[in-house]
Amino acid sequence: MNVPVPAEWLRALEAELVVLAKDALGLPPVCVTVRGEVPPAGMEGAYLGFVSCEGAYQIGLAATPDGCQAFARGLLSSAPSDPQLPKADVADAVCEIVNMLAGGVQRRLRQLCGLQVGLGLPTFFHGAVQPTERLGVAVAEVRVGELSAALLVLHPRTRSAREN
Amino acid sequence: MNILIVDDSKAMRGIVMRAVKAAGLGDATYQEAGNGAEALAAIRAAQPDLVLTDWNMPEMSGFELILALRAEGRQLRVGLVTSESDPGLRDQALAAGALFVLCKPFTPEAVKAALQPVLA
Repeated sequence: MNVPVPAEWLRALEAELVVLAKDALGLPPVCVTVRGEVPPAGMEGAYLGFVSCEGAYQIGLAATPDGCQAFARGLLSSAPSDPQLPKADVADAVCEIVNMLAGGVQRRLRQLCGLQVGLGLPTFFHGAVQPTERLGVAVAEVRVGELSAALLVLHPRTRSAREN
Repeated sequence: MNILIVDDSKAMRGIVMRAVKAAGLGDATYQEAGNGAEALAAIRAAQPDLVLTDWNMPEMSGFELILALRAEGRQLRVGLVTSESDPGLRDQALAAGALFVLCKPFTPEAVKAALQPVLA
């Protein structure tokens, strides 16, 4: 088994969001605008950790507060005339979206390289994660119609990556 | 019919309930629990006809709930509704007596197919 590199985790996550946005959230098509290693500021969202012998990985979905509201309304099939969801309901729904993304990433990585990972529980957060010497972040900034969002993969940095 | 829906996400409990009603169980009575431990307490108080439970939850998982119900000798129909896609876990759940394992996100057709033994 080859352990997937962060870019492969990110590609799996991007592919899952494309499917989920269309099939479960009723949102416009997802378009990746830029990939990098710096999490965008001013966003909130949810992270979920994977349990694996291959190291600690987490995935995340972040967006502006309005973007998170739109993701949550999509999951709940809210009508445009429905009132704004309370913050706690938005957090709950975005956590559930990340949970479903994680299940899809789990399946894709198993098919790609046989990686066996268990799913942890999602957590909602405000603000950007801080990369460190040991923790790297792979980021894909995306547009979902008018919404700006970001997909994140938190991964352990290898010694060689730290030295580069 | 009494149905207990177990999920740590309020949003998902609502989505599952809507889907089950649309699949033909609109007349059922619904109860909710936020994890396996809460569900176990609810079941001990008044046993439902069907339990639909998430897998990954705090305190007690859906799989642990199934094992606890079997340990108490309860013959109760339990379906798992989960994001877990690991075939090994799925087999484990079915071997432990789960009626079905339904993957999130699900389609209305998949819900109806999973509930067929209950609807029949």
